Amino acid sequence: MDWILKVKTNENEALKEIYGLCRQDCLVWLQRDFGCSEDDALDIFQMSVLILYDNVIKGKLTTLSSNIKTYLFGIAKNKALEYLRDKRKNASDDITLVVNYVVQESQDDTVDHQISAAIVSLDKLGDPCKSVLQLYYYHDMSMEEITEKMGYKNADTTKNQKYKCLKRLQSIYSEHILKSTQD
Amino acid sequence: MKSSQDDIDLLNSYLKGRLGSADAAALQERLSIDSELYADFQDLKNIQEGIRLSVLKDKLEMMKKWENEAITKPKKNWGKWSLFTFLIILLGYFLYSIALKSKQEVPEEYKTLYASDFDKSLILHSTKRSINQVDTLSGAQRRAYEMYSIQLFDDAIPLLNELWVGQKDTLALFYLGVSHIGVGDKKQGLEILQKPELIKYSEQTNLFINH
Repeated sequence: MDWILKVKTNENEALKEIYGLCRQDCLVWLQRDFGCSEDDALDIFQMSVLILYDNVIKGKLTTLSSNIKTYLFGIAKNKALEYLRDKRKNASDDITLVVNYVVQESQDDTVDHQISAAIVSLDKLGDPCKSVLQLYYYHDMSMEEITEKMGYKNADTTKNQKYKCLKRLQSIYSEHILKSTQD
Repeated sequence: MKSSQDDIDLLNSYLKGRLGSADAAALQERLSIDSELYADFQDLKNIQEGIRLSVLKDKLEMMKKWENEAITKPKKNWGKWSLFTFLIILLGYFLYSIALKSKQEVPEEYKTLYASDFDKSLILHSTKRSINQVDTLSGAQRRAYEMYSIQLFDDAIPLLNELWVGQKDTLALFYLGVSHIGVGDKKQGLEILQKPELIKYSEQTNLFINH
């Protein structure tokens, strides 16, 4: 099966299949070989699936030289080693968990904080703006593709909508940063 | 964001790596001297990364939902199976009760005999236990006959059967036949009451046979 194509075309269904295919073996392996607790093994496994997905969408993974399970276990191994090295967990929520695991290690705490603020702001922004921005920035869709997906009138409307959404997001984001520095 | 829409588009293209080298160099030059454009660039960079991570966060929530579904599903099944098992047990109990009731019930045609004439017509032994008088009943007979006398036929049947098989006690055999009819087993009861060994109790057996 071409997992990469499937993730690109039907991402949620593909992720669910990969998740079900690898979950049990990966959790047992992480607990047995890396001494992870059950909860930490689950966190590491879920983060590994996320990274696999991210690599496909961002174009870092275009072909699989091994099967999907081997690739996923490779990611999980690196994440488990990070876990053993600095116990970077103690994540109290999903945002911290994602930032801890996915953001490059070179980022400093201030940047982590700003990125967390952007995630929170995006949640506050809500749909349809959140979806439009995710489709444009993350999925790298063209204005025409977004127009079709979101059911807008034309690409100009979409472009205008995207700009307004970005402005609103930036406003919520700045407010959030300001408030958190005051606190 | 103070930059114009065109500048924002330019920054987007730059962040997506879609500017040619000359345009990229020109933008870098502007960023080094225009603090407002640079601030917007930094915000846009963080927002773009935030958008990426927000997608991943949404996917993480989706996976957690799968986990919760996996945990709750067996419970749902368990609940369904518990209900099914409970209903089966209930049904079994009702069937057993009906069977027990129908079996234990004295047949309609003998109800008066068992209710009104039992002591007078169907208890044929006598018990005498006082300082001056003793009967000749053995302990086993006494226990079996007493159970029969108070119409605890289920308890009496094995004791009476033992007396008949072990001691050829014909009175025990007669009581055994009456007891079987008393628990609703008319066929076996009549078979016993028609045995030639009970000829001496024909007056009593006729109450059943010629009913």
